Amino acid sequence: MVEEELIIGRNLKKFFPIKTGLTSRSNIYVKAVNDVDIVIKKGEVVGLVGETGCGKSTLGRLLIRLIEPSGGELYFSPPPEVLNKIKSNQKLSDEELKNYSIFHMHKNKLREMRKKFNIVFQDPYSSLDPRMLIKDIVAEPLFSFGWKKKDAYARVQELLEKVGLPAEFMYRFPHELSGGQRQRVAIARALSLSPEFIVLDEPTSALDVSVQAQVLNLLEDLRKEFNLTMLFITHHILVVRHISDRIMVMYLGKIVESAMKDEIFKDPKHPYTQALLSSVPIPDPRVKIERIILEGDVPSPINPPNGCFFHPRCRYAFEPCGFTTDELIEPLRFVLDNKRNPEMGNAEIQEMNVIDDLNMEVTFNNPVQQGVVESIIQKEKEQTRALYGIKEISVNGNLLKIKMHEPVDPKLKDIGNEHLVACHLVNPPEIK
Amino acid sequence: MNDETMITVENLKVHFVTWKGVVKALDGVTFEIRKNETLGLVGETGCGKSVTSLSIMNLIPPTDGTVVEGHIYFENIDMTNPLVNMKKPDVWLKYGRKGKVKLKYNRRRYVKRQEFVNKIRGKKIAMIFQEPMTALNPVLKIGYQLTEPLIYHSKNELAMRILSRIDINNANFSDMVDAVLNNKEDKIKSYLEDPKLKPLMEQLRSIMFRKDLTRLQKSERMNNIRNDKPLNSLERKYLEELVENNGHERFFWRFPIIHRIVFKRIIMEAERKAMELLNLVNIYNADIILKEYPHELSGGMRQRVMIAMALANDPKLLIADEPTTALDVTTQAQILDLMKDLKYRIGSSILFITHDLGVIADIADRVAVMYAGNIVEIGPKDDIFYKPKHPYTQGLLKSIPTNKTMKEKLHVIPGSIPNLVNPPAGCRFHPRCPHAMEICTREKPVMKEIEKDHYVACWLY
Repeated sequence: MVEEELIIGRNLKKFFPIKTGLTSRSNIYVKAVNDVDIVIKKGEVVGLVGETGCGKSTLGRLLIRLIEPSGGELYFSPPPEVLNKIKSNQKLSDEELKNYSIFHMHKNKLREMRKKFNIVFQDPYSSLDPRMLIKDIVAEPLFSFGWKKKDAYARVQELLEKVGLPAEFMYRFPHELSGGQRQRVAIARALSLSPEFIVLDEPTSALDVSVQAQVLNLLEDLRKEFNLTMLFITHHILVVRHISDRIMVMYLGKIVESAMKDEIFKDPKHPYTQALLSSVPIPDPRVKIERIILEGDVPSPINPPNGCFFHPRCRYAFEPCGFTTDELIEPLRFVLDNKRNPEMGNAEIQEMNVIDDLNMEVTFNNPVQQGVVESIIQKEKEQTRALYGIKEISVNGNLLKIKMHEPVDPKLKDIGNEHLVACHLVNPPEIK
Repeated sequence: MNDETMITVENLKVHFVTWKGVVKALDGVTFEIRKNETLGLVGETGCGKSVTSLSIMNLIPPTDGTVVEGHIYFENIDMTNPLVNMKKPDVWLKYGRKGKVKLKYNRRRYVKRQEFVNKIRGKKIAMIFQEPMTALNPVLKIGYQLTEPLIYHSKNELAMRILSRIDINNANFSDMVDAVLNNKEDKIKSYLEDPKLKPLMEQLRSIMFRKDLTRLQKSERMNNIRNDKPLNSLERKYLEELVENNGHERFFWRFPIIHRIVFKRIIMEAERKAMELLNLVNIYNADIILKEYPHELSGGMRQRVMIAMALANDPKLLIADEPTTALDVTTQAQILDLMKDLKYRIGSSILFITHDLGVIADIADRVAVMYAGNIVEIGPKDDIFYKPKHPYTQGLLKSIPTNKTMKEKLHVIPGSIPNLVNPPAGCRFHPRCPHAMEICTREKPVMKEIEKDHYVACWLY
């Protein structure tokens, strides 16, 4: 495999505004893709996995600029001198940006670039125009780049053969085909301009197992034949495991882990990856896996949690992961209950006052002792992870003041062997 | 495992009438589900998995299709024709000239059948539907939807719950709490046998099963369980009437205003039971959830509510129609974990329908494989996964990507699913089968037991 970067994305962002009211102006955004760095090498198949709503599809569409970005830079096979500049984080001049960054390119030049990448959509039942013949569907990209009809249809015939469909399918409508055949047509359309890079947005999730196997085999063949680079977006981990070389795991708009296939299945580092891989049902009754069951649901991407986005559901979350006082209210009520912990005596929580994200005050009806509260917090830490976020407490009669640790955002870091992880467990930061 | 059967499906044939022709969706499906067993039903899209479950539940719309042959026996009732005294069928196919087929139905007889089946549906057979988004009513609160089956089917049990809670004496009650807290099994069993104390015991046990409380909090909640508003004489009379008449109101329905007042007690009790059900499916802020609408919950949460709804009346048979298909893997793991846990607690049989073989490997005891309206193979889970006999099962298992198939190509079953309007004659799989013989094109294979409990419908054996 050639070790050459084809696609480099830096600080990619896509925020969708939520419009309410008459003015349609808003400061509320769904942070679908939130500060993502991505590198895809030539001839590589990258699998992008994650739960629903984590921004997989948005990232895929951003990489071929199907949607307008909110920030960041994207380069498509830049020349070596520009590549070096990007790698060493130097600022590019305006002219270089205009020439090489897909997000800053002039539209005429971008149109030329569009020949080099294409996409296959998820649902083959809705991504093909029901009123067009198959030959016109596949030839549409060709026509838009000025091919002549005769050449275009000859090319269509060739393409249909490549994806394993007989030539007479040219004169059929999409509704006459089955799901697997439609997906083949969609793949033929994506290949029509012989692109270098293809985004496959859940190409098999609408298909049955046996049809899925056909499509996966076809993709494997095509990849070898045309030396394609592919981004394979899916939530089906067994499929990704079969087809891709490198796997990226996304959670709430960020890439949390990225490694070669064998490595990530052998030794997942991020707690989210561990939970995700362990919860895949394996079609083999004798294989018994220790399931890691995640508690709760994915938080809203409108207001992602502080620090590490995964910390509210993490089994190992600790001091710098970004607990805030809001998350502490329920656990404190639970833990400082004199029925749960009789050491509290007759003190009961009267009022909880959140000052800001890192400071809060708790008022009791009777005086409490600092030592007792500290020992309870120490005792309950293992079960209630949010208590790890407490930096210091001070008791003054009935009043308990709590200060939290400052959150630190985890950054993707290479831990060797092209294994990138964004987790404080792997790269522990200094705790102030 | 007990070998008694819960439900028997015999030679079930279901036809749907469309303008293209008659779709033979089910073509002689035969299987049985035993007590306390999970039967996994796998197959591809359009092979008739869901139609099987719908015909068990009598939910096939009379304008679309009907059961034309076969029987479904559930507790001595034939679910395909539950009203024995009904001489003519309510939905039937009318064969006209030139091979035209029309679907006719008699509305009066159809409604009669549905009224009868309503007493069984939700009470003895319950169903978890595929998409929790569409199966829950978006304009009604969760509390309403969850209490509806309780109030419809088991008013007498709700009345029993109230009475047993209020009538018990102190000594007996503290003995019960002690038995539950210290998990004295024989004592719990003896209490569960007493019909008057059983509802109270169940309430205490539901608190005991909660995972979010400490022992001290549990015992406190148990002792507080009796802090109810005392019953007045009217309410007591109403509840006793319900218990006596097996849930029917003989007297109070004549006085609407009084009925409305005394009925509030039942509604309150139903909400109480609904909260216990939500606790059962690991939702602990139940009082908040009851007041919310379905759109305010996440997908996993909705599916839990659906499961709670299905479990409301302790059904003997639970049909789960692709309960995890619309969910993410992590949520799916939560739900499967929950269902495995519940299976031991409630002890009912489950028919688990899915197309994901991974899920089947996890949850089922026996597996039935369906292809184009037929069950082609049925047997214990290990036999199906390690010794598959039918060519279709073999192909299906080989076509899933696993860690063994990483480098090599995936196995592909050639061809595609047949059109069920004109299905192939004989074995419906023969056009795609690598071992097809001459007899396969002529005659339909019959189920044959080749090993203990392992049946295959194929001419190879």
